[in-house]
Amino acid sequence: MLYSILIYSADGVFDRLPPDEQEAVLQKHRDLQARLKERGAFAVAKLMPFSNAVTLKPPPDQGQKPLVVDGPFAETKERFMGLYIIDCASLDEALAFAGSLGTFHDALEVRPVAWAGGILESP
Amino acid sequence: MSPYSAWLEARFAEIRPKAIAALTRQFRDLDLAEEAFSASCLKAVQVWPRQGLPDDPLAWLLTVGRNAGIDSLRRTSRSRDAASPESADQDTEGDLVDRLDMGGLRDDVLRLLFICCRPDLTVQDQSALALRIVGGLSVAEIARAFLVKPKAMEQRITRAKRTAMRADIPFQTPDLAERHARLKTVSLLVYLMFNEGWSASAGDTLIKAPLCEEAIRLARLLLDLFPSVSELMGLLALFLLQHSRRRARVDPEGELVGLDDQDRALWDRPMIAEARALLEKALRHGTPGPYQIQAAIAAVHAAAAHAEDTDWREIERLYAALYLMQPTPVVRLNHAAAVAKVEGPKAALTMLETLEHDLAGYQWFHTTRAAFFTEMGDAAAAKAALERALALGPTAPERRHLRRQITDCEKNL
Repeated sequence: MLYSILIYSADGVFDRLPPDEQEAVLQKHRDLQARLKERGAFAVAKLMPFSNAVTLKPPPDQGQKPLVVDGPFAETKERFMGLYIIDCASLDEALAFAGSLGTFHDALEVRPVAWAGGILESP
Repeated sequence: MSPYSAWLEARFAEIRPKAIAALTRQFRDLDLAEEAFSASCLKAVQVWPRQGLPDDPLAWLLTVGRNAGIDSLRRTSRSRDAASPESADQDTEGDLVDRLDMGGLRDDVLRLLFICCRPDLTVQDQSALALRIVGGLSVAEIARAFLVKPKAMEQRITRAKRTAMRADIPFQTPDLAERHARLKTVSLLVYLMFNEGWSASAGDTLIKAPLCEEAIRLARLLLDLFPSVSELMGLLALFLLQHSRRRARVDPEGELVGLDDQDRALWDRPMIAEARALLEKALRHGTPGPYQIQAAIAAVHAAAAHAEDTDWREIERLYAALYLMQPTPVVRLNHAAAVAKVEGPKAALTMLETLEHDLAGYQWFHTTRAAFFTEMGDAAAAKAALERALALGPTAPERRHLRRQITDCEKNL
């Protein structure tokens, strides 16, 4: 089954970490990505800071256009920063992959993927 | 420092501007607000590692900070009026959290930045104060950012703080026009702070990168609080586009490298990508402003793989638009530089004739004229213009750059 690992973190905190701490976090991601690459296909994405977001909200009346609002959908403390999609044999395996990123910076939500498609790479 | 405490520090730093702003409104006393926030962070360091991160760290820190502040007031029996009329004592925790709506907070942060913008302070002092109060940098860090001695910086900040505290700026929620005016003033401060970092006005260094980074942080903070203000998107985009060139702008010998000669492979592509996203978002609003246009100009440069691919016609149009909004001699000078690329140096020199009076003391005016003369093959006039620039007391690397150009002119005399 495909599992997603959704990464939530407080925006702007990573940038304030000392360089060696930043490097340690990045290294965990690089290690995980190297392991996943050996196993086959996976997907990973890191999102830009939330102030780049634009949110479409449902229109107040039927027939109207959705409202376009600047900023992220929810005013939450921890924000959605990025995700992995990994083919795993079990929830345990998915949790182990998430655990290898295990940091106190981020909350990691592991959630099965109902459907996935498409293929993309950033330039 | 352990990884966990490094992360806690980072988290506190991120929360600090909002927390200080809210506590200042509560206590009407900046020193007490800072003291209360430090106390709450100290408590968090003890409690969070054991109990885990609270659901809302800002609210947690504010609740603890408020109590610490009240205790401190009781101990020192400072004037009880200080906590009135919005008397802190009577609030329950729930009330405080309820009042943590973004609307109130954003005006609190804006107010805090606004009191740093006292017109009787120099831009450097305003910036230093904003970094101390809002950014939470230590005096030593600010001194390093400005490349001055900590002792001198301490005196400057103490003096500036005294001046700023005299400002009688009400705590009531500002009306729309007042909020707009404050945002404009504060944006200008952040813009000038970035420029001070980007083209250091004195000393041996060309770029004070920490100042640029702090200005970027403040721009992010403002955009976080005012997410639909297109000029803030433009401001942040402009900073990111300029800062994306930082590695290419100074060569290994510490010499300034002009835009045309920069190694564009050194430009920070993710930063450029973010700026483009912001700018695109801003332009959807259809409310162009000077920051958005300047960012658009920087984006045209960023889009060119090589200097010779630059779309100067577009840049020329953008400067013409900028001049309509900001009819200043410096904008006209930049417009002339773009005109030179499109129509040749002769047309551009004609544009500059009227600027002599205003810009005689501006280095870039003379170096721009020198470039035009060089292009027209008039080495003597170019050399004279460069010498006038040199006489204006540029920074050491700029001086070396100018001397090199003068030597080149002499070869062509």
